[in-house]
Amino acid sequence: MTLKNLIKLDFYAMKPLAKLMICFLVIPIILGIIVNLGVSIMVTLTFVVFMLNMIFSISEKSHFHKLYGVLPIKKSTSVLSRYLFSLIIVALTAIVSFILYIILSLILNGKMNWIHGISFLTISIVIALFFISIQYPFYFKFEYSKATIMSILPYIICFAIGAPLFQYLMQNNHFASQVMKLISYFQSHVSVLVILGIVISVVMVSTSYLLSLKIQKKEF
Amino acid sequence: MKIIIQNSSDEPIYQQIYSQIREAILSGNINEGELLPSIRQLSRELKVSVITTTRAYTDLENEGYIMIVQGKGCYVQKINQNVLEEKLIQNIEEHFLEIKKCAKILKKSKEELFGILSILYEEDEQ
Amino acid sequence: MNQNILEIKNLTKEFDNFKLDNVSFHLPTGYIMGLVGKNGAGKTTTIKLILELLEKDQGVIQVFGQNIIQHYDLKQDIAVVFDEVFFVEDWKISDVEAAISPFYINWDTHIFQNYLKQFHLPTQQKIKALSRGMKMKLMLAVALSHKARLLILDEPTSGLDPVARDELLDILLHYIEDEQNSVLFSTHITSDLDKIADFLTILDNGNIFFTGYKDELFEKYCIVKGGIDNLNQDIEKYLMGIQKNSTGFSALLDVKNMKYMNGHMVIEEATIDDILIHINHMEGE
Repeated sequence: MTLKNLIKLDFYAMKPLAKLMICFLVIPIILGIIVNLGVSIMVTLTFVVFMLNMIFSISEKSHFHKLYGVLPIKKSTSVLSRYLFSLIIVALTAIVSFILYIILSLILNGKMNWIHGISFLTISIVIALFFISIQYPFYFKFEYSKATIMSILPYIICFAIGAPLFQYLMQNNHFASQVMKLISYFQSHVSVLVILGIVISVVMVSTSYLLSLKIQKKEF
Repeated sequence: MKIIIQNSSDEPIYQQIYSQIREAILSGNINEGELLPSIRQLSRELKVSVITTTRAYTDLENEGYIMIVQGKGCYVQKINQNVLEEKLIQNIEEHFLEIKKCAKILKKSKEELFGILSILYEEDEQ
Repeated sequence: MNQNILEIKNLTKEFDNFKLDNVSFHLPTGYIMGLVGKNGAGKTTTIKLILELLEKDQGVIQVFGQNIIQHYDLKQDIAVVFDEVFFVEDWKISDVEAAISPFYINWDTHIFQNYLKQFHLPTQQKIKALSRGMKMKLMLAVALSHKARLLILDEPTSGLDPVARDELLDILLHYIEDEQNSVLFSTHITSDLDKIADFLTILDNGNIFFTGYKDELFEKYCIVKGGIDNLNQDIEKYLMGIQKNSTGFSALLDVKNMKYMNGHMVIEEATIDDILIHINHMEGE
């Protein structure tokens, strides 16, 4: 009961931003038309995750920590509700962006490539949840301004070190062929990709939640 | 019932409430059996603490002016006229005793005191 | 009536630069208690500990006779007004009710709407457009709309104009009229409490200086004033928080030591402000 109310509270908190978020959804649509439809799903979801971080800024600016102290709730519930709220938003966005993908596919190509769509959707969701899983513990532990800086760190590590490393490895023919094999395997076995995506997501998010619960700022 | 709280007065607030209600009862401005505002109502109206009005009412009750009925309110008690007179006379006597003491110190005669008294009465008449 | 709605025993909380030390006091059901002290004396810390916004090091906090820790349902019956709103600035007043009311079993939308009317708060107004006084009234309206039995106010009157402060006092006295509700009211604007508080708890640098009936405080302490030449070591040891300047001195005196004073000094009733000012001067002694 309180869990449901807390999730609703987060929705209310984001309400002032709702219009802005919907306006910004135009960008991924345009990107999808110009660049690639699959990419548009990915961009939309990553964009939403960045918007989601705003909830921490809003709740901090609105002194929600005091509200949580006043309301008849267990404080740990507010952590769970924040995760569930984010999952709901991600799910909703995934649905909307996938519907857009279908519509745009039919308009632009006259047909629908399900394998391409579902694999992009799965990967996009996993990436979005990966972002959330890494960022949220920072936001629960530190104040917004500090957490924002810290939560960028994983991306820097990922893109500044990971990407060049991957490129370097791809120069190795053996490694590259293994990667290509893997990609083609997933292309022919989408269900395996989806199952793998679900498992990875569940593990990431629940680990992140338990971590947040443990390290959340308890004193204000 | 009229009660005026003077914040600048030296008299404590509970005493101000006490004496103004007592005067109203004694002078017949409020009659026997009349319902007074409850302790908490009065405290809200006068913007004073509940403890303060409680103290005033308790004093009034102890001296038999009012009766506090839990949950009902406060009623003005029937005052026995003889008892009342006795009380007032006692009051006068006490004051005269005080006057006598002061007069003794100042070595004023009985006649001089009467003089002061009649001046006061004349002032009243004017 | 005799039951305590709030009971705090040996509450201790240590920070790097401040310690709330062994604080105990209790608030009987049906009364208003003022929690006073200068800024940084520990008022807000105490309130935060009651609400578990801070974790206590030691001590017991009981509300309605139960330990508040782990009994978060007790907060159904507690209402809190802080010195700042804890709602989203972009919310309209109607959003506040929509977001907050589901948490409370006893939320009464009629009561809330009545308060909005009484306080002249338009439901379509955004919170960020409200004045400080209006924000306080909004929080009060929320606080009073779920039939809470304990109302906790943390510095609600700072920054309010005299009219709004007077209205607040009226609301509080009305709130306790049914003898079931109690108010814990922290403030450094003591003129509010001079009038309506039944009990006072004075905090000084994390310690209790006084807790009890307000009248007892004034019966216990008075202010002594006099010329500097009236002072000597014998007399000074009875005085608390002596403030000296070229025209004379003033100090706090326990009434039981009145006999040691001499006729050249003036003795007068102390106000809460006087007491706060003088206990502040005690620290250096």
